[in-house]
Amino acid sequence: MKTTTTINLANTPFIIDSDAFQLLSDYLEKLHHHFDTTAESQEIINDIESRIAEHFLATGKSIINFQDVKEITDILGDPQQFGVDVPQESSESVRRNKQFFRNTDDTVIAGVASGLGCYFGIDPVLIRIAFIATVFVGGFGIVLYLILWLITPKAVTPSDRLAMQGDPITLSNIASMVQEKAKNGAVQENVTGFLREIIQKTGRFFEDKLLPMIRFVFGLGMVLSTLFFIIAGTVFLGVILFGIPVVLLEELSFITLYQGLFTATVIGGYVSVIIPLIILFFIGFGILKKKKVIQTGIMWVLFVIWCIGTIIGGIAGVRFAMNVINDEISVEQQELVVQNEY
Amino acid sequence: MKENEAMQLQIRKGLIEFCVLLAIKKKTKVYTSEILEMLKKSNMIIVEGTLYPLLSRLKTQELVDYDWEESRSGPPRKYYSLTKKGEEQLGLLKKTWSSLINSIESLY
Repeated sequence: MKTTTTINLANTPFIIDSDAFQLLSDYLEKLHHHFDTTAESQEIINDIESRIAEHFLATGKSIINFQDVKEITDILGDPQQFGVDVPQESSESVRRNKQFFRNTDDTVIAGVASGLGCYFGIDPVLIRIAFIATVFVGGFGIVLYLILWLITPKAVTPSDRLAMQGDPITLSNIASMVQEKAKNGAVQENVTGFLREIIQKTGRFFEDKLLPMIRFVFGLGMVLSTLFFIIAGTVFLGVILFGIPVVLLEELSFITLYQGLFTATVIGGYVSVIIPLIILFFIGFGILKKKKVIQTGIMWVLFVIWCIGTIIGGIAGVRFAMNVINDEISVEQQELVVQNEY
Repeated sequence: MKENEAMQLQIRKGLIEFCVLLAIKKKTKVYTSEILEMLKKSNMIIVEGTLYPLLSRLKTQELVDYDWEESRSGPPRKYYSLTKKGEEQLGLLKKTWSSLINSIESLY
């Protein structure tokens, strides 16, 4: 035996089994949940109730059972599937609020910057630069980026994409979106595909953007510093060889005495320092230009010059030093002798 | 594949409005169940529930209007017809549709 209850649908009375009533109740409640409380929505619900009433009457039964309710709710469908918008007050100029999604159509790492760009109407490139800039002042941008990445949903369906850009979802918009997608080629994504993409994109980002930057900075640094030292060294050489004031020369008399050795030492030393600098300069230049700018043959020649210079400089230097020291010693000895004579 | 299905669903949802306007135009005066039948025959399968908010929106946009008609088999029914604005809109949609077909097919 079953219990029944009486209901009133669209001004029509029905006797209905209790379990059927429960099912119907639940469905109507879902409807109310789905629609808001505007007048239009109420009208929609009334229309649907009319439809249900029509169905019940069509069964010709004196008591509506569970099956009848199930049938009509299946025909009507789950409210979730009712598609696009709840009717809105104004018609044409309805602009949906923009929603923040991650935009994976135009992404470097995860589409965070791109999504932000869409939402605020800024070029994503500027946002990316801002993120990278914060890395230099404490890296909080990285944390922010990761947080956004985790909490922001990806724009998957075309309606997502439209919501991301803030366009109302209408036939013409979806149509133009389909056209564009057909042009660009739809991207199929599932979880592993996405992960793969992340890795690829990170790699590409590093390769395309980061590496060139590092390379540029490094190469430029090398070129500039070696150039600086080469010039400084040469100037220094010039000063020592030709520019020592006559006054000082009298004090440092050993220089004029052993001018040959002195010159050889200095030049040898110069070669020994300058040639590596020159080689580094060319290496730096090569890094900047991303290719070898000095031939191996020339490298060998430079190396040989360096060897010769260093050896000569070394020998001359030692000889020079020995002479100077010996002179100093003999000068001292002479002074002692003179002192002793007195 | 899920994104593909979702996309297909979205396309169809976008086109439903077009189809509904076409159906109303075809029969001049129809009620909801009739529209559903016509769509079913043309292989445009949707749940009937979709029609209600959709028709309500079309009414708000002044593209359709309805008349109440008494029915022997139940409560009074709304019979929908196109307004002048609705006819114009339909004309535009048809044009959009043609150019869309051209675009897509040119990519085959």
